[in-house]
Amino acid sequence: MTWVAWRQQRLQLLLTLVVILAVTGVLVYFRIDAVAYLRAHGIEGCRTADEARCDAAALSAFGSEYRAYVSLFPLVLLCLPVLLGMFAGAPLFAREFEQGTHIFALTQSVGRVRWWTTKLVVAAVPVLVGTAVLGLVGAWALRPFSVIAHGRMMTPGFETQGLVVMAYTALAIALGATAGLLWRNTVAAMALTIVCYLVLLVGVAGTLRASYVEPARAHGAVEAGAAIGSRSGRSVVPDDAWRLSTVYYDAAGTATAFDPSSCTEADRSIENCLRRQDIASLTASYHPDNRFWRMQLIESAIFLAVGASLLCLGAWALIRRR
Amino acid sequence: MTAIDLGKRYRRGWALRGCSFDVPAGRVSALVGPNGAGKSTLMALATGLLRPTDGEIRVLGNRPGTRGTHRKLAFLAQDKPLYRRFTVAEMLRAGRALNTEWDHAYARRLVDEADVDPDARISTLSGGQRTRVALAVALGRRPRILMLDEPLADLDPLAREEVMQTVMSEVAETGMTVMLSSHVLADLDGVCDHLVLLANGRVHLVGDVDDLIAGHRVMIGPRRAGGHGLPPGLVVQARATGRQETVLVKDGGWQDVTGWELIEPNLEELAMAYLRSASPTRPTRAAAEVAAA
Repeated sequence: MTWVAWRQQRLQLLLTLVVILAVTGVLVYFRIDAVAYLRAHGIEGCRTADEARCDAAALSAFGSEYRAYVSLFPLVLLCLPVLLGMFAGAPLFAREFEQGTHIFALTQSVGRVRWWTTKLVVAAVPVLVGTAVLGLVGAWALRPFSVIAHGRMMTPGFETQGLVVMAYTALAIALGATAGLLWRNTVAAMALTIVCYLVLLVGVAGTLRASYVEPARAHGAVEAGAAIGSRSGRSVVPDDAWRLSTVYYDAAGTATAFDPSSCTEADRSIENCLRRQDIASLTASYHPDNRFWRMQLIESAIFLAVGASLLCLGAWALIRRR
Repeated sequence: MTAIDLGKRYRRGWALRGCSFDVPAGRVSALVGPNGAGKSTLMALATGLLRPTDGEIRVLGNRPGTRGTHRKLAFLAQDKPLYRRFTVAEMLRAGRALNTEWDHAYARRLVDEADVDPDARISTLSGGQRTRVALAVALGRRPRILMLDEPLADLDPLAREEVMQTVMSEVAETGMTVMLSSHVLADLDGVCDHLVLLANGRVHLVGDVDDLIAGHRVMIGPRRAGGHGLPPGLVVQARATGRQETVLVKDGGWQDVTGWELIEPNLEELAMAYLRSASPTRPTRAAAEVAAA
């Protein structure tokens, strides 16, 4: 059975691995290129601008040099898991039903559960190994760009590197394979894969992700320069953290509202604008960068669990048969 | 192969209901019925592709389950499903990989005899070649029962003959049981020695062809004003054309009557009469009623 499944998936698997290799190659190339640039300009290892070696001008020059790469390539990485998973998963069973070849396979001496498992393993495992490597290489290769990409805790940084790349792909494969098994139509299974994937991804990112870990809180006085997103290095929240919310207090210590849209040119700085609105201090909640792997693990576990339950649903429908 | 009160219901209704029959070992059985009579459903039940709603079917004493088809039962589905992108040699290799019992040399010989290039892709084969390859894959399992669903449906006359020859020489050599379905009765005459006639999801006639023919007579006589006057329980089907009436009777219903010409029916006449009587809404019967009025 393994040979049959391999022979059926051969071409597609090779194409998938070529795509993954190409994307990995681009990541590695830009990593090497950027490290050389940083070293040549003496700003390697800088995480925020300061008055010393890491001056703002040099960092912004680095930013404009790689702007196109940093803004466009994450889009490729964002689409890749669902595309790979959809093409590996949706036709896997749907095409057999469409061409009637499931009748051939299931009237031999192979049980249907073994047929299902073998096909799934042969189609999914190489893709998952490939995307796992891609995600880990990505985490390493995108590190130098952290300073221009505002870190890897926020979208799209979090979704385009680390373990989740593999987990997203696994979910897309499970979605496609199960939809194909139930609806027996490749195009419908593909469409369903994309829609469900997007709903799940956006849903999880918007509702669950922030609460994987209790957010860190930091309190600072406006006088001390605790302003929002300041590049001065004095902000209460690190530049590469994921800021969730900010509560503002007046001099008496009661929570008050801040209207950023009323800030004008005349204020010259965010601190002046805060002060004009009688805000003395603020508390920000956020996820610092050092939680990256922990949150990646949790998100991956969620997607893998959803994927596994979808597969169980498919297996159940297959065994129950009509 | 034995069916006991076998029934299968789809969402739209019963495809097969209350079917009981027995195909004894070594027979070449024709499964005859109009389109939608339940022939394919019956075969899917025997291979384990579907599960019966009612009753049971036994293949060589076993009930088909989800762990693959009985290793002594080979099935060739109606559109001869094969992996299109495989070559013929790869298709045989797939047969070997998917079966515990597999006679590779034999399957290879069948393909060679069919004059099919082993390196040709399945998608490039003609209908006849494709059927021969599918048959080679089915026979490579060395089955004791071979089930063929409309094996000749899309073949030219030459290919039909070749395919039937392959099957029949196999039967002569191994004595295996064959069940083949068709709605073209001419294909089956002279080939089959057993008949299962399905219509509207029910078995209407089953038995050895010789016994069936011996138990029926076609009676031809002039049309009479008050009908044919034969006992209704023994008449399978009566047809009036012009001044003449043709009646198929069973169980010796032709004895003790005079004024009729008696003919032994052939398989086709027999099956057609049963099929007509099984579908009273078909135009043939309606036409007969109009003529009688």
